[in-house]
Amino acid sequence: MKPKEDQNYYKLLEVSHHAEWGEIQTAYELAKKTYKEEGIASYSLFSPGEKEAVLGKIEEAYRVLSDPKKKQKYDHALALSSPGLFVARSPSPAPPAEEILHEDLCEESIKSTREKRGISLEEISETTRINIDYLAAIEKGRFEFLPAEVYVRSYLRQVAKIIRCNDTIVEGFMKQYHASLQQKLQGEGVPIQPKSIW
Amino acid sequence: MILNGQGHRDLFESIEIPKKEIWAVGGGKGGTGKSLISANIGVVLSKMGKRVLLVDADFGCANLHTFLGVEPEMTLSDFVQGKVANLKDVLTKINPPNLFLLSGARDILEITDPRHIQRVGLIQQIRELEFEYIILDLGAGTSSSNLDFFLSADIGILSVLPEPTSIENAYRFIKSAFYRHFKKWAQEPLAKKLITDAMHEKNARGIQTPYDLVNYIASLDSNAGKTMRDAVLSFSPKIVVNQVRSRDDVTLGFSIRSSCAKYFGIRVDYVGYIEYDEHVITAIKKRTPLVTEHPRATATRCIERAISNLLRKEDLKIESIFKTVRM
Repeated sequence: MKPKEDQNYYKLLEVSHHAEWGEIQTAYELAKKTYKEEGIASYSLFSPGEKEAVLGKIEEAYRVLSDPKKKQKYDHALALSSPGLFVARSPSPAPPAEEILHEDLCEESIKSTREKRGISLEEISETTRINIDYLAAIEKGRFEFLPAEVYVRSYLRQVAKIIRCNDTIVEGFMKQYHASLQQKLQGEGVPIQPKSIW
Repeated sequence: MILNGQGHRDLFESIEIPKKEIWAVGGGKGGTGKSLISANIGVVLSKMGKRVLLVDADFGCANLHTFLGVEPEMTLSDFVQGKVANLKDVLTKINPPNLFLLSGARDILEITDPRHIQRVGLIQQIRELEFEYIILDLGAGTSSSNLDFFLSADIGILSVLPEPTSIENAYRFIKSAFYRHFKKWAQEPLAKKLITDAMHEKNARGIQTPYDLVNYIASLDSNAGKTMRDAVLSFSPKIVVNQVRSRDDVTLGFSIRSSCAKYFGIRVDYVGYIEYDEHVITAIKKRTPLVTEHPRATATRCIERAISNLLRKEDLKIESIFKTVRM
């Protein structure tokens, strides 16, 4: 039994230190299901605030363990602080490229995944009726060329579906999109505040 | 939806059977399938050639006999009232061979009083009966006699429905059982008092989980803390989710396991789920055990798989569910 505070990322996700990529992904999906607001297995034990805190830690753990580089660094630090955890550990295979769904997921991986699947931008544009310039802007991360957020999100969902990526790719992209939006606003000295309806 | 992999035949192969084991089937709420599970565990184990005793420990509301289609001539009340001197003489023999029922009292009020049960040393006497498996079918609720029966077992099984109320009551049962288990391990009067305090939600020391409690006790007395840590490790109820209708219902067992680990710091094993199946109802109406009446029904296979896991001391693996369950 470990206190909640000093649980390491593997314990948070309830996987072994030898967990492979698929297990980490499954554990993450399950945890999100368990601690989401309407999750019935957690509702009578945890307050909404506690659930949020648990989810925050789960996200943090997943962000590190789903990224081969971050994971390697983390494992190294963990092995130093608690020797014995990684005894006789065979190297865990890296996640397949198309399944790297962490926050840093960038436009190149949408492009590379699409190319790996052998799908052209034209094909996507034809199927989805999304303007090909927008599709190219998404891949290149040219946020300034993109329409309003609600459209971008919808475009991404459709693209993700066609190139067979998890929806997480959408969230990763939207985070970057927001960040660039804020940067732009700050750069222009415009205060960031909710738009007034007037 | 059903599971993959292991065919029916090899479910029970090469399992090492212990000499004597007591399994208790409990859970906070009524109507979650405790008697259904108990009765069918009894039938399956006896068909494996084991000598099995089913105990209807739902005093006052006993109806395990209905699941088995028998009408007991003698019940526990005959023993508790002293009409029969030997517990062996109130057992009812059931088909298949090797299966016996110790029926709970149906109309006797005094037996529901836990002091009575303690006075006759009922749990100990049941334990001493000559059977390879003793299955205790508990009543609903968290009465002390219920908790004592649950804790006396080698394996404690909780049956839960995929509904908020059922899950909430299961947690309440786990919490009550756990603190009672804790109290039995605690020797020092101080530790006992702390556990009693911790049971109250708004205790002054801010002790909310077993983890907090163990730490607090350890900070006062390191030996007592060590005993308490062992107590935590030795408490590990099994979960069966009954009447599942979707993949989400199936994964609920894992969510319960996770919540218990994160909140209580205790390990709960998810040993199986039972799909919602009309055959369960038709079997009850005919007053025959499900596994006998509908040997190929989905629910039967689910129960057998759960029993196989219990015998092998294994639990369900998340990966196998995510990969194979398609509804």
